[in-house]
Amino acid sequence: MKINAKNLGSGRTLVVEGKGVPIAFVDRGQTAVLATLTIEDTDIDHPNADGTPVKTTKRLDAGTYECALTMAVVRTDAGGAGYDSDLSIAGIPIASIRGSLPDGKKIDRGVLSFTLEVTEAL
Amino acid sequence: MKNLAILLAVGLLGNAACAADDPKLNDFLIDLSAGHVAAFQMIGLDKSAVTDLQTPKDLVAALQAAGDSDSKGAFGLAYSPGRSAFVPVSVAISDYVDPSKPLTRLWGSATFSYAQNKKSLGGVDYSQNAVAAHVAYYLNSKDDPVVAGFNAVVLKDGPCKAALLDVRTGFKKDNRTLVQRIKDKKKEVGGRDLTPEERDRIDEEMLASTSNSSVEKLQVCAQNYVNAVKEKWNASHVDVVLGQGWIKSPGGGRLSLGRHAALALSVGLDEMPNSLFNLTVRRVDKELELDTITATPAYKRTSTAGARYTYGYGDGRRSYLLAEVSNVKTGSPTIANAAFKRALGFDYKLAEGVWLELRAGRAVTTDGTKTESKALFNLKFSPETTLAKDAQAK
Repeated sequence: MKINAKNLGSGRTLVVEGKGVPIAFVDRGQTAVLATLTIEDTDIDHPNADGTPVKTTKRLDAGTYECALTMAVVRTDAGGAGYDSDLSIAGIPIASIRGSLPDGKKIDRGVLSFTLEVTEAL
Repeated sequence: MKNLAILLAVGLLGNAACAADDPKLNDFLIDLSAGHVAAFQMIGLDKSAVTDLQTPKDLVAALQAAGDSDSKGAFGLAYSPGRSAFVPVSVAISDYVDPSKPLTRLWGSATFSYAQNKKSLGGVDYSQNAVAAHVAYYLNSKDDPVVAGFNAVVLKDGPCKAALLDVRTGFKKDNRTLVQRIKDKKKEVGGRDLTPEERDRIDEEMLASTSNSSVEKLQVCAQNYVNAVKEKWNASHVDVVLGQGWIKSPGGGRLSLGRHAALALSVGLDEMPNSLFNLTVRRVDKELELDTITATPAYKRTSTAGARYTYGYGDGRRSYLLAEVSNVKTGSPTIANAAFKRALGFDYKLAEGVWLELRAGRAVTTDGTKTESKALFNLKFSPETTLAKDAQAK
């Protein structure tokens, strides 16, 4: 499964203002989606422990952070096959998965690396 | 073993004695299911000819099949808009499982269907078609297999928490490895930004070098949990069915095959974990009697109301008891009215895969003129009892 990068500059870098950086996942599909976003040595799991979508603000000092995102879709025969999820940072959608698991396929997984550059807040 | 042999003999004798009157066990209890739940069932179309619409591609394939001369125009569509990928009618799984959005779950559990085929009667091909709507709503969302499947996959303290923890641990480990590989590559190229192609290559290598096994184990666990939830015999749910079928001769007018409406309620209470209460009201009218189609069409009408209490007990539920009442009346000799007015039932597991089944009560005679007492023994060789299945609205 391909995680599509979008709204990222050259070198797949997103520039945002610190220190509080909003991070949000949105799921519109019919299949369960699991994701883990790693910002250097900090991990954010989606969805939350109670199954609700992650919507949080991360305190990040000015600097450059290497990031990795892993997403997986997991289907049982009780649910639909479609998946449609986004990750937004500072309100900007930067990664998405969209599609439908074909008949007989129950899981899929993808990874994406990018760089987050946090500048001093004005 | 000796007792088992005796019971087998009694069961077989009982079955044989009743066979002379030609009663069938399934006819002995009123059908408390919602009845026809899809258009293809109303016209007798094989389920394999029905396309479950999930994506626009499925719709195109179904319409192509309809035009296929081999199929003779026989095809069916089942469409659950909430579970499809058709925006904006689809329902996000995160909304479906949200307890504060019961109407969203109601929409997500609605299925609409259409079917058409040809039926040959007296050498004449008649066109048949039908439409139906079916909503199956679980009163406790935890009994809903869709909710159960989602919860099993994502809840930290859910039924698959160990498998989920493995997935999370693996994702974190993989992500850190990927971050390190990006840093190493940047060092290697003198600190410049990596091109999208270089990024893609590293991401793809990372994906290829790691395994899906933990995610697969989570999926298997979640599927097993969904299967267990589906097996729950006394889940509370309500089924509402509406449907209409038609038949049309070449050059003739369109006649009604029947209008179906049903409400089936099944309630299992937390305070009574061994019990299930069923209440069903079903009406079929304007149902054409097919042998009158070439003369003056005659129609029949059936109204059924029934209530049942089922009790399951014993290790692994070895036994089931039921008591039911229905509104069947004398004076209308239809199949539905041949059921019991009042009945008691008992199923007992003699051994693994062997069930003794007993039905007794007061029923309308098959000619519909009076009531009579009936009783039937049966020995069933099956892993499951009939009662536990009958107790559920199918």
